[in-house]
Amino acid sequence: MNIENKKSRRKTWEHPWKYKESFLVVLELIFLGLIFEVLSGGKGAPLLKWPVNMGVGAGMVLLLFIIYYGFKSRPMVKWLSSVPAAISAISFFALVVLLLGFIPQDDANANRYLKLLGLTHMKNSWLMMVSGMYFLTSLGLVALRRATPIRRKNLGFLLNHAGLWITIAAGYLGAGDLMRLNLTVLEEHGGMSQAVNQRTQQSYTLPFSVKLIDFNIENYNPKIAILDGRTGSVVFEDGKFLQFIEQGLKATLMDWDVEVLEYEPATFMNEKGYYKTDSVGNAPAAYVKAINSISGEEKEGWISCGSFRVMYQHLALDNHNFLVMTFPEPEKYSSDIVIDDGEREPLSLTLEVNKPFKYKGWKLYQLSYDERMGKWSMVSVIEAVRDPWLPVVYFGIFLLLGGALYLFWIGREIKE
Amino acid sequence: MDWINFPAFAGITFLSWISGATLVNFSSKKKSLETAGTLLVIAGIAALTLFVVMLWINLERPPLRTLGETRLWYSLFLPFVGVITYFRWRYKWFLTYALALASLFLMINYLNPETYSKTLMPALQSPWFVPHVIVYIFSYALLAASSLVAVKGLYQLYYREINLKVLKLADNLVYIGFSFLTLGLLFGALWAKEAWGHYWTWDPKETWAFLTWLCYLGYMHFRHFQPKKVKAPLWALSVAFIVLLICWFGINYLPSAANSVHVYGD
Repeated sequence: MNIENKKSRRKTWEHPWKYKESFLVVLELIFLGLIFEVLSGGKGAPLLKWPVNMGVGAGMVLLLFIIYYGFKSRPMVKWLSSVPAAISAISFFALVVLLLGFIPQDDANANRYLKLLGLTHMKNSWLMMVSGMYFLTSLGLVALRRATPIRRKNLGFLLNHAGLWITIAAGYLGAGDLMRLNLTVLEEHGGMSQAVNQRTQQSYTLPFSVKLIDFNIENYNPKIAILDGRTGSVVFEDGKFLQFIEQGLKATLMDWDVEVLEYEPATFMNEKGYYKTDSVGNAPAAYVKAINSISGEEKEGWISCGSFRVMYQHLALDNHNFLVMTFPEPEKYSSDIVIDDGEREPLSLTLEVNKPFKYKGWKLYQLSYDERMGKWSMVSVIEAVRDPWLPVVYFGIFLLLGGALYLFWIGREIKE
Repeated sequence: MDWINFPAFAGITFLSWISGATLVNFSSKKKSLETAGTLLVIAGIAALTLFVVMLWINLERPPLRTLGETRLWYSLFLPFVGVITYFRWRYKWFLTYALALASLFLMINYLNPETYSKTLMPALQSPWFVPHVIVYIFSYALLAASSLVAVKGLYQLYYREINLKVLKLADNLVYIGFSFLTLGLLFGALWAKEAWGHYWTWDPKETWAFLTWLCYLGYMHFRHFQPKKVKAPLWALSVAFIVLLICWFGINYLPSAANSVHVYGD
């Protein structure tokens, strides 16, 4: 405590700078960021594209090396690579992320002053840019300071600091080269190569075409539930999950003991009831029996969630409670596609959620389908993503993973 | 092997853990008792592993679909990490804490088996699902413990004499918790690239997870720079936990989080 008091007699802005100066610098940077944003008319910082981003990245690295090796004994550089500067940079970044976390982003009806200050598009605002630059400068200099001379005991430190620097810098610089396109393909149509940019809504021609052979959905079984006619919503009992319908299922729903006597996953309905069919638009149906455990009252009949071809059917238990079948939810969906670049042999493959396919610098994802048509959807939406900076980001991420394991293993040991 | 056999396996596991933890904690420096305790804990883990393997074979799919099945994995992984940490750091409290948490999950499964499946949306059906969630749950558990320790420290600071051991303990918890937090965040990013096309989209949960991460990062730097200062880090730890809580379930109520892929429930 005494040492602190003595130090505080140092005048503000007199070196060595500590917390006070660091946070004053941050305050200035906040103003700088807001002023830039207002001058840009609330349009945010420009996204850098190839090769400008590469140049900026190389420039940043070069500048850090020059500053460090040329001026490392200057008080200013010493301060930038000090912990108070680091903490002020972390706090500044955290403040920006906090605003991002609290203010609804990209809201069309946002307050125009918030918009002018960049607070409704934080992720590409000047404020984010300025805080990111301050963060990277401080982080970069710290990493360089520990990296020279390179020592084994600094390994964890380097993995964490250099890893974070590379991840953030590459993520930021690569944002302008990132392309995320939606490609809508239809069954019984030729190959499509016209896609739409998700961010700009502009059309883009892919260097290959994609043809949809078949779109498949595997559904979970529908579930059984009680619908309260007064509220129009399904009754959840103590947050218990609804049960899947299957032949012979016995379940207790509220006061009713329910048994599924018959279950058919694909049916049509006529005057006699539901019958099995493979035709388009079929719906699952179940014949159920419900016994009230208090009054002993018995009800039985067909229920079905229906489809665009089959009528919805419930079983009335009393005046306002109905036994219903929910719509089956997709368990997995996939597209059998053929990719053709006009040069090589066309490629047949299946795209599935969580299983993207890499092709000529693009990554293709199963994104969505025509949900109204469900398992008869003839449409599949495929996302095509190109992110040339990804390997650099991944390199940073893997350094960080190593750093995290190191941190776990070594813990606080180094300093004590 | 089926859920019908669960009570037997859970019972064996629970008994091995509770006797193992007792031996480890009250061995009063008798090496042989401590070793016996550790072995009992490992035996409990082995019994539960056997159950999971048999269940997997029986179901003909990885038992990762229902919430009950996920809890089973928590109960398996928590003690596993507890034992590894124990071998490395000799933290008895930590092993005990992991075992207690795992037993709690076993208990929930015993009382409320939910053996019927709950649907899992296709995007969640990924090998990343389990590590991502388990690492996070574990990290949150550790950071929660660090905040408890910090509150204890604040109490000591204002009403008693502060014992600096309190901050050391908090630091150790934060360091291990932070490394898991980092792993969770990065696993999430790697998974997101496979499932949603990009590793970082500023989804509200991502935003708050990153914010939590920055808070603990700030704490660690502050502690490193001024290890003698006590009041500020104790307060910082308590506040960081509030951010963590917002990230954990608070974001479900934030207006900015209306479209998050992480908002669960109806």
